[in-house]
Amino acid sequence: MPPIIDRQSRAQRSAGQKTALVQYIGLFAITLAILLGTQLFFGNVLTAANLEVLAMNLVFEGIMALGMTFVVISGGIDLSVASVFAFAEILVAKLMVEAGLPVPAAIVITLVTCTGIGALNGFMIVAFRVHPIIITMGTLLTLRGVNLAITDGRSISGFSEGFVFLGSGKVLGINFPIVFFIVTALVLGVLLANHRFFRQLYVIGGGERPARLSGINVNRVKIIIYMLSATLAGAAGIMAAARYGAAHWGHGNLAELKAIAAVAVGGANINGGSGTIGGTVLGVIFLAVVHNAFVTSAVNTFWYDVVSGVMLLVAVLLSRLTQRRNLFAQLRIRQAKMDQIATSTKGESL
Amino acid sequence: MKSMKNLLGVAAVSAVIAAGFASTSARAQEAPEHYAMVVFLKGSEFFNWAYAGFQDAAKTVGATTELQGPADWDASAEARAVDQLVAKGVKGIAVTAGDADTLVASINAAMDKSVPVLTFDSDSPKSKRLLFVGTNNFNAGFAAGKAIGEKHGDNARAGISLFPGNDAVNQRIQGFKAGLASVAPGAKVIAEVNDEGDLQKAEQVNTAMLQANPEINVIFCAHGNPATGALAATRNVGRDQGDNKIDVVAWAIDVPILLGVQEGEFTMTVAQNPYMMGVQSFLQLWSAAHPTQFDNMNHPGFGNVPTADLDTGVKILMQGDPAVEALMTPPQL
Repeated sequence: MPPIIDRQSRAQRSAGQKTALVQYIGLFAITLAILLGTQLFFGNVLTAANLEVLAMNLVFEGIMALGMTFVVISGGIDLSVASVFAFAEILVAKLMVEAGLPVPAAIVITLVTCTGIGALNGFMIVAFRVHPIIITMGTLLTLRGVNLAITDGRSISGFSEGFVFLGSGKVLGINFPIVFFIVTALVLGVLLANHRFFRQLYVIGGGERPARLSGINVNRVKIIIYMLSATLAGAAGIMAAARYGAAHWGHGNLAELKAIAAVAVGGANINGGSGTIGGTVLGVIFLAVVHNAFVTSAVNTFWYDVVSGVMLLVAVLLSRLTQRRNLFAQLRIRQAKMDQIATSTKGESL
Repeated sequence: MKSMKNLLGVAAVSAVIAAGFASTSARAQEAPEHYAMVVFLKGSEFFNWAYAGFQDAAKTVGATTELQGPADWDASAEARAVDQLVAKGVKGIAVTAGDADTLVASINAAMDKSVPVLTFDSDSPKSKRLLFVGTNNFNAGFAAGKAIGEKHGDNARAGISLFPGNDAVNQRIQGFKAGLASVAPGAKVIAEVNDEGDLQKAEQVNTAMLQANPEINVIFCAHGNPATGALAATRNVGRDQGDNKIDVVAWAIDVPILLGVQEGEFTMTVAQNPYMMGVQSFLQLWSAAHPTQFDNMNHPGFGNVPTADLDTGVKILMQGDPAVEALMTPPQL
């Protein structure tokens, strides 16, 4: 890989790190304030039972949001995750209950199929040069129809105990989907921060043309990222089927918006070029805490979507504001450096 | 100095948490009993009626209530709402199941934690719920089918607008077909269309159905949402009035539908009694949460509730029925 990529992505990363840190501290403080405020005024928040429910409430959207982070950093978007989620539920259920396949085989086939759907998304985006919103919306609608048609609108249930463990089982006292979310977030977070392949995403998100000129195989990277997004949505769907003991085409309705919201609240630039897994995790926790606060406070839930929407807007606007301030600060530093170089060059020539 | 600041920060947070726990235990002593209703389509006028009944019944015994659930027909979100309400420590939960199977684990977990749960409107029969409070959907569909059969006789040619996958809707359709056949064996159901629970979609698919099947003279709407769309579809094909008018049978008590019945646009509407579902749901939960000297026969440890389901019945409302006027004032929440 040419060194210019490293320099560019490193420069973008270090520039983003300061901004991100400020955002994360702010988001963490707000989340903590909501949590403690709700405990103080309404109680029943910091109980083991409620914290478990709080974590489980958004864990499937959280897993989808991890994949979405990569897509958003690359400048794309994946609206199909909710349909892939429900499709995975249905496919794994059909393979086990109707085809009689053993659990591991059903899971592997389902994940491979979901990866294939992601590959198709990515291929259509790069081959036809159509905006990802259009392609993934097409996949969303097509798969929703497929989900309805192949189930005839009915749910599928009757899973084995071994499979149900994936949704309700506990590892070290923690629900398996939460363990999966934490481990996946850690692995992907480390890869995104340190692995060359994933660092290319920041360059692609900053501008595809310069990325191509830098020698990055943009098409290949994009296809792989959509594959990752769909695979994670599929994994979430499998665990959700296990959790609810049923696969239903309506599960995960609008989950794509919650996943995108978590990524945006976590500070990622929706136009691409910035974002981190840590930010997304904070975004997921923030949304889960807000939702939990609504239930705990018993405020009219008709207002939940209003508050969530306004908070998303505020988070995104604050993110843009901080990025802009950071950009101006960088430009000032760069200008000062250039002035310094110019002065020293002038001195040498004299 | 820095570590001192950190220490003070930790102490402040700990104080807030301690105050929170202290206020919680103080509140627990004073708080009235709190019950919850979980629906799969928050904001629907039908469930507003049910919740109004639930709320009003709770007021009679000084209890408080809350309404939870998604606004987008996602049964998994309902399951999560039930889990969260149990963690919150509510005294009882009435839930209408967006999908019967999806709610089983959450309802069972709640019952295992001694939180009484019943289903209303849409059942989850495989769960451990105490009982089902609501319309016997087969009987209600039967009443609608019989009314249409009596009006059109063997000439009835029906199209059905439905939302697939919901057990209640399926039972209504079976009941409708049986009711139609009971008085008009020559009557036929010509087509069934999926309106996806959406008004605009209902207009599209019903228009297409009427264009493809001009012999249809009745549209039976098997749930609350498609009626206005189905009516628009009859206008689109020019059969909303005159001798060739298509009879639209609604399944709702929303004000626009009631107005339509009053003005003769809808031939009839199947009126369930969601308000009574709410009232009865609360009363049964209250009873289950207050055991007397004899335990519940099916669920030891809980108070007594009927061991059979509680049918709240329906009425077929037509133009001129005084009940139409009475239902025109939506409930205050």
